[in-house]
Amino acid sequence: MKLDARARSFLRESMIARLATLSGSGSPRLTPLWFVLHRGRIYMNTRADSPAARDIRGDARVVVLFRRDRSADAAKTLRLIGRAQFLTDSAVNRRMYVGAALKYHLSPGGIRNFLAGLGSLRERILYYRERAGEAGTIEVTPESVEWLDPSA
Amino acid sequence: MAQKQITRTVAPEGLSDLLSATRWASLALIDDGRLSALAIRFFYDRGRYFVGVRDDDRLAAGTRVSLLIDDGVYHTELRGVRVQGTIGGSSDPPKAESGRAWLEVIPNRVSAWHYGAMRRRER
Repeated sequence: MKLDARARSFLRESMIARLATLSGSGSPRLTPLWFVLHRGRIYMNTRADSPAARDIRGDARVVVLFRRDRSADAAKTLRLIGRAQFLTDSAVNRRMYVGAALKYHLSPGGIRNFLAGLGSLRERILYYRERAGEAGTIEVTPESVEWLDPSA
Repeated sequence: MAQKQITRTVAPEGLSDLLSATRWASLALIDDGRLSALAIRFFYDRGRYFVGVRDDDRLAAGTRVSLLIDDGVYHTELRGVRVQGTIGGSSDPPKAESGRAWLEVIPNRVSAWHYGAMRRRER
């Protein structure tokens, strides 16, 4: 399905994807992830051995919740139902890294956060160095979207 | 795989400010055999997790759920608590708002993280 203009606009203002997957034991699992919207699909970076990536390799069905994080109407939610795959293609990973860097690191909020967190920079570098080469990208293809306003 | 030296894992009690302040959480469940997820009213009371439901929220006791309480957008702000568990019976937590039925989430596993608290793992 093609996302309409309202959904695309909402997604551009949303910062965190809450990804629901199904574990191998049949239990649901929620994972919050940074995301990038590209040509109507959702891309999220995670480790290949993360629980979300493992879940998707077993069952492609996912549900993703998006909110306007930090807005007054934070309860208003876009629920996207779709199918996911875990990709290790370097071109896809690179596109995700560039998109995420622009959205989360090089934006005014990202730069402010980086400067405020300089004290823990050494731990951050070590954290990602330890996990280098383990990452891939979750790609979600939407099948339907719904608007939820649980505060109404 | 060798254990990583740097961790972002924290004790859930270490995020009690987040748990106490959060009113909207995310809940994933199996609804009629299908994976679903919704935004849901949330209340935390001294280690117990409650969700506030409306009549049209179909949450039966025993339903397996994943409850996510999270906060933050940028790197060091990111923190959260995930409760893997089941829906328990109806229960009215003290100080929770009225007008909703409150159900307790009975945890099987609780995990918590805070990217602003990255540190070397204790040996």
